[in-house]
Amino acid sequence: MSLIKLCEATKTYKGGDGVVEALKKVSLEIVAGEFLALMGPSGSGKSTLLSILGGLNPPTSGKLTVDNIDVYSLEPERLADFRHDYVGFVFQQYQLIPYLTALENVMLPLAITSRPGKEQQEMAHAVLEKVGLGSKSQRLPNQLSGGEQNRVAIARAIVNQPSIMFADEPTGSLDSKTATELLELFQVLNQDGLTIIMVTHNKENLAWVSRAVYIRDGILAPTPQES
Amino acid sequence: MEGNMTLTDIAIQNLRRRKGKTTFLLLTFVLVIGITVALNTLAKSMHDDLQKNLTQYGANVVITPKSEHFTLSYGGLSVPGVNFEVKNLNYDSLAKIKNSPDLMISGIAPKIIGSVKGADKRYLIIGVDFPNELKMKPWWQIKGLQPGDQEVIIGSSIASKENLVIGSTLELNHQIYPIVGILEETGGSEDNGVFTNFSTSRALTGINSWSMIELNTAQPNKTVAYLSELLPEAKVAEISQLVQGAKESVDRFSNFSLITSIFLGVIGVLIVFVTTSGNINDRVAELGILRAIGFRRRHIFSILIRETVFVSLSGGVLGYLLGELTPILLGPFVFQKTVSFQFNPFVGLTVISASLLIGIGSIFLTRRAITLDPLEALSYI
Amino acid sequence: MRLTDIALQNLRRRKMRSALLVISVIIGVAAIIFLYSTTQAMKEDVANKLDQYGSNILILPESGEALTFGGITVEAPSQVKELDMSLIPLMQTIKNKETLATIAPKLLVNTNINGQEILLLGVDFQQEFRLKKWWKIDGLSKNQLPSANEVILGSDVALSLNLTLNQNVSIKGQDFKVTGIIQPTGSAENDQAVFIDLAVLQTLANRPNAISLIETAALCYTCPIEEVTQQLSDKLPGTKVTALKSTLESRDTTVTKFNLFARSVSLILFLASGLVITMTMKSSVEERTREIGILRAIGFRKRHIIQIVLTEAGLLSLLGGLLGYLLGMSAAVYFGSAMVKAEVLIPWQSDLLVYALSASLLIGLLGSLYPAWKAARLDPTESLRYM
Ligand SMILES: Nc1ncnc2c1ncn2[C@@H]1O[C@H](COP(=O)(O)OP(=O)(O)O)[C@@H](O)[C@H]1O
Ligand SMILES: [Mg+2]
Repeated sequence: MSLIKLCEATKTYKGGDGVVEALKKVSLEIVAGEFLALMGPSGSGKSTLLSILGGLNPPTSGKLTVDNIDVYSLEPERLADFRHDYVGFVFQQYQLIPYLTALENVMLPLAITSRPGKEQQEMAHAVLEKVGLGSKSQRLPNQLSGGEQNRVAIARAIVNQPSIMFADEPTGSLDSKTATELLELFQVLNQDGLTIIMVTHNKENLAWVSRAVYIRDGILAPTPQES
Repeated sequence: MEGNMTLTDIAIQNLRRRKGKTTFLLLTFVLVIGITVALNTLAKSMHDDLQKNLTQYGANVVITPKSEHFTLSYGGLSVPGVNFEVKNLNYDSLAKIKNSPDLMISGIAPKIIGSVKGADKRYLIIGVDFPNELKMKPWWQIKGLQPGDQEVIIGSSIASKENLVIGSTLELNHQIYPIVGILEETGGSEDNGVFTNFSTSRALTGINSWSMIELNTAQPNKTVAYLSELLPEAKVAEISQLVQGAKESVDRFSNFSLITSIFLGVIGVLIVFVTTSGNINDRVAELGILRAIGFRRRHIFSILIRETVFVSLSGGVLGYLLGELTPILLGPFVFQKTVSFQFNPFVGLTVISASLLIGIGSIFLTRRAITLDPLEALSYI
Repeated sequence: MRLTDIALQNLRRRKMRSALLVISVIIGVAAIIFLYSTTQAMKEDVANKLDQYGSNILILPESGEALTFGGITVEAPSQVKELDMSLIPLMQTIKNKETLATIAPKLLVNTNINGQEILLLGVDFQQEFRLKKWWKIDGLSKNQLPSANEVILGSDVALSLNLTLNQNVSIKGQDFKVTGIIQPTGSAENDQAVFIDLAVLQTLANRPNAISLIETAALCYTCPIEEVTQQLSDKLPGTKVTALKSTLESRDTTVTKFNLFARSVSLILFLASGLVITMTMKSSVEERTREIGILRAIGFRKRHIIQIVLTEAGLLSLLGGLLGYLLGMSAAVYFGSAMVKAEVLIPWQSDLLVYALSASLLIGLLGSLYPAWKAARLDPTESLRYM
């Protein structure tokens, strides 16, 4: 029984120069506990697919089921709850709130729960320790390096103990040493039971994942198609 | 030349792409300029209105016969037991005044004043032409009708003292006159008068001429000088209480509207400064990028100047039009009067250049945003 | 961390932005409060000045009026009742006594000077000059009052008796110095009389304490003239108290115009400030569309976002409203009167604080509610692309 099931998802964007078909009838199944890599060249539709899987971006047509929930048939507020409860998302540009400290950014998903403040702080601290940023919890995003901001974003994604984490090119702007540390962290999280779907275009990262799928011009393939 | 084109392009693209912000800025300019102009128009029209109202109010020039004797009355009272010699104006004085050229006389109210024996006391008879009189004295309120031939109107004091009402009669010179109206209390000597039309008062008092003529004119000074020469047998005087009072009220109003307008203007400038500098502050990061890729301060400055000139100029023009049109559209509803459109190039030019100046001034206020070093600017969000 | 904390952190860490927002609320609120209280004071001041320009209430004996109109007297009664000085302290006992700005008693006595029958008016010079602000007097400097042995002449009297300044004139056997000549006023009553100190005339005419009439200027900004006249009538026996409609009407015309103008200005300013605050709030929320997208992506509900935005807007507007009130009100209290040259004190009006706070809160919330709702409605990916 798969955790995530995407059925014939199509996504078209109306851009300035006409209609772009970013995804063409993409179907994909992911089992709980997988560490999946989504590979493909730039502009192939990786981010689009990831955001659809993460409940952020309704497909033009097609259906997404997660844990037997028909995600996009949820009314908008239930969809927000779904994202809160099931999904952690690490964006390509980290998307931290600039006026909140690292700790506060991590605490954000907890702010809308009924957990007492102290517990929130402890949880956020614990996660920050886990990603190796325990000492920089009081810094604002613009006082952190790119790699550090990336780890804050990861901490924020997992603080609420979601079942799935999505990460959009998390190693894209990191040097190979930092990238390795990050993937090790992912591996630990994965071993703890977190399902991870990661966009990457770096073949070296494939050593860490349990499965890879390839996308090109909005079409999915199990193996890389050389041009 | 090509370099300039590029900077202009950047400015235009910024304005075009950020429609919300541009609209906001533009609207601020339009609003501030529009309000200033509208208020100006409003103040001017109300000022003229007040002036017209006050100068048309009451008799500001009085023509009385010259007399050897002094009046011994004050405030409706008189020293008792003296005899009065009553003189009249020449009968042709009225015609002479009416034929006088351009004195801007808006009302002429000649009067016949005399006394007549009643049943048990004497009455003050005032012969007037009511339409003329009422135009000049809006505080005269008549209950009932205006008197025709052989009819009278009485002052409120007589009515209350002698228990007379409309429909009662008054005996004057052994003849019975019906009372067709009552002049409501004015607090002046009218309260003790019996009013009739000219022919009735002539018949009653035997005066065949005018006792006095009251005038309302927009040029009391000139009128007095001219009529004094025209009517050497009469005494022509300007009522300084009325003339000075009107002038003072109008001056007060000008002063009032000027102060409020200046104040509103200052507020307007402040608002524009705050929004413009807010707008530039929001773009510190973006300007940092331009600095980082090698734009000079001068370049950034000229981009901002271009944007501001465009926004403040068009805001000024639109605001001016808005300000001129609003009173015209709203005048009839809000002030029960129509305001006519006057294209006033001086006001237009003034406000548009003021708008431009304020806009450019606010760039200088936010120099910090431009002079910030690029690294610092980029860390801004 | 609660939603309120998120709002507070935003306000704290983006000081510049918050300051600009608060400043725009402050400017709006302070401007309205200041303008409203100063125009109010100015209106009252103008009304008071108009009321003190000539008399608006006349107190006469019950009966014995002459048959006179516009300076032309056709009959004088054979005898006139007198009033006396005790009425003046009585006038001060009415309920709205503070409205009586000027009380000018007069005694009318006739005398013969150089073969001419002339009216002597015994007056309280200080009150008389206050009443007749339009008098221009040759020979007297501003604020100078004639002394007991000095008189002031109406222009016609001076002309006809050939009297000039500083000459002596004998009145009822006593010598007086002509210390002032009133320039022509157009009113025979003023131009043809001799003005003399009231007490001196009372002694001279051997009528101690007697007065003929009292002219009064009442300030009717707060208390209608009809009421003052009624109160005076009730207190003063044997008198006839009347309000002069002619002065009142022209005063009303002027005060109405002031009112209308002041109201239009306040309305305009209110609308303008409301609009500016709305627009500022709106643009500050729109700027945060991206942030709102992040929160939505994390799973915040729309109402969470609206709650954050409204908390911020509410706090800023309340702060701005409070500071604006303090600024506007203290500027009005301390400089307002001086700035508009009004002789009226502007009091602290605490009720305006309630209006200031509720209006700024309402406008601030309304101004940010719509854009917040609009931003929260966007799909997160859309808001994240927002520039
Ligand atoms: N909001 C959008 N509007 C218009 N076109 C878009 C939008 N988002 C993505 N696209 C287009 O869809 C295609 C896929 O984009 P994306 O999923 O971001 O690719 P990737 O992440 O693989 O680089 C690209 O051609 C991109 O230009
Ligand atoms: Mg991408």
